[in-house]
Amino acid sequence: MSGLSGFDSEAVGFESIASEKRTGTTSGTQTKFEESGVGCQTNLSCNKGCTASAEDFTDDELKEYPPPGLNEFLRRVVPTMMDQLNQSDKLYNSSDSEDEELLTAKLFQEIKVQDGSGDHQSAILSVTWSSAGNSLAVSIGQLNHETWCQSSGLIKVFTLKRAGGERFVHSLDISENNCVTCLKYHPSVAALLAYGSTSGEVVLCNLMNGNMEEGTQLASPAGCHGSRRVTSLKWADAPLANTFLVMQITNKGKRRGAADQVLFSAGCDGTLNAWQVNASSKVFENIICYNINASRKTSPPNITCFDFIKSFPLRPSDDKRPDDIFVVGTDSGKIFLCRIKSGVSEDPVFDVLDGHNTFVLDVEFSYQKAGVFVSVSIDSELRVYDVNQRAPVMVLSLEKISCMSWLPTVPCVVLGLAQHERQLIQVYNMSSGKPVRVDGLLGNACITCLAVSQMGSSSCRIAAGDREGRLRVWELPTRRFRMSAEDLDF
Amino acid sequence: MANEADETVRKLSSHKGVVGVVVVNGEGIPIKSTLDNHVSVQYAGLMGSLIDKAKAVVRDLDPTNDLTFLRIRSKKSEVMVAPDKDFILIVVQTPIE
Repeated sequence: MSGLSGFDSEAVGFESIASEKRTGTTSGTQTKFEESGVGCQTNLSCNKGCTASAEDFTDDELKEYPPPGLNEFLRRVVPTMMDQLNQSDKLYNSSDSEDEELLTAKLFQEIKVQDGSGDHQSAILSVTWSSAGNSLAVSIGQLNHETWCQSSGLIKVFTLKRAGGERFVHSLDISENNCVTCLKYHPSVAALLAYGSTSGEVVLCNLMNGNMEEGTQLASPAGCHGSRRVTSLKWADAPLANTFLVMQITNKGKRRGAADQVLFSAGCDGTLNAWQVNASSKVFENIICYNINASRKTSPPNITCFDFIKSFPLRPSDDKRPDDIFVVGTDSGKIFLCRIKSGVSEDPVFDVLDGHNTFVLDVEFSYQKAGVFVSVSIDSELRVYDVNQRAPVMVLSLEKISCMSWLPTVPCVVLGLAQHERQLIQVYNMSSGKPVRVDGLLGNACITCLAVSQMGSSSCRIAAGDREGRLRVWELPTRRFRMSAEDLDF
Repeated sequence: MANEADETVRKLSSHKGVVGVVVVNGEGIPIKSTLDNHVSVQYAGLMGSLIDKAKAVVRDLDPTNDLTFLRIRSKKSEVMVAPDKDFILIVVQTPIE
């Protein structure tokens, strides 16, 4: 029994093992199949979600889009981002991008005007180009006077000689009893050079034959500008000269000569004089003397600069500006908007602009845009104004500006800088308010005055005098200035 | 009608010089973007890790300080990143001709 039992037990045990193996195999196959089925069902449910419309969502689901807090986050960071983007406009997108073409100004000539006879008289006070750009006149004198001017002034005229390579050579000296503060060649009659002195005298020179013959100088009457410094001179262009010469006929019954010109002078005594001048017939008569801001019964302003609006006869009617406006800058920073008036006792000021905080160095109307002018002050602020509004259109805080001039063919200003060992001249696009990168204008000097002369349509010459009595002339390729349509429409 | 976030992103992207705006959520996933999908994902991933590193640098230098903004200027473009606890705003701009 025991043997049988043992056999049976062994046989049963074998069958039992075989049976377990089959069961395990079957079970494994089923598992795999079920997994595959679950995967397919998941994909299907995803597709259903994509085709769902907004109505299918409950309120709780809608609240998740946009994600909670996103609007608050954007409200918080977007102002900062916009600030940064606006800063990028100034810094990144403009002058320092490497894609921008770098213009190079060529130093045409450097002249040591002062012979070194005295340190106190070494500065160049004023510089001017003749109409054709072939003569340069500079005045040399003391930049600052503690009391009265006791030094003599000197004007040096340089003429372009083309033989043996173009260069300016000294051709003439004009001596004056006092420092000559401002000089101005006539814009179309090359022989006429006017200058004003610290003693309030305005003088007209006729350099017809390239020299100063006896009797070729005409001076203003004594006591003009209260015997105080003449700060600025301007010649009238043809339409403006016509206005003042007609005024002279109306007010005084004086006849006008065909070659009569009109010269304006402004001084520290707060007056702006218009002169009828004719070098050949020896005419130097006052047309009108404007007492700026006299109607307000305050002390007369110390006029530092002025300019008349440029006439634009071919502008569309909606872009027209009055052509009888002039602006006057003062040492207090005020800028007066004035209108040409024929009455002698009338105050021409009709508006006072939100001006600078201190001494206005120069004001000049744009050649491109009617009614727009730029002013610079001694605190290195440049402001762009439109005569139709009191507040400035643009205010730029720059570095140590000493003088300014518009470029004739592009809406840019050239700024003379008074900082050693760095940029002497800087060009600014007045439409965008950005600097134009120009190489070759570095040096170690303090620029005191500058003048620009257009040479054809492709370039211009910039003459700049400094404190040490050096005159530099650069050639600037203005045609290569890249101006957008917006700039030119400025 | 576009919601406020969409409108803000649109306003940023219309700014002069801006070529792309990406908003990234706290998990590093771009939830709004004006760039292509793969570029957005790339910016989200790379800027996320850079922000973490920059935050760590600022805090290591001064534990009371925190990173508020990051600008990366390169020859071809500039990336501005405004990080926050739950989101990151990335704006890409290129120089204007």
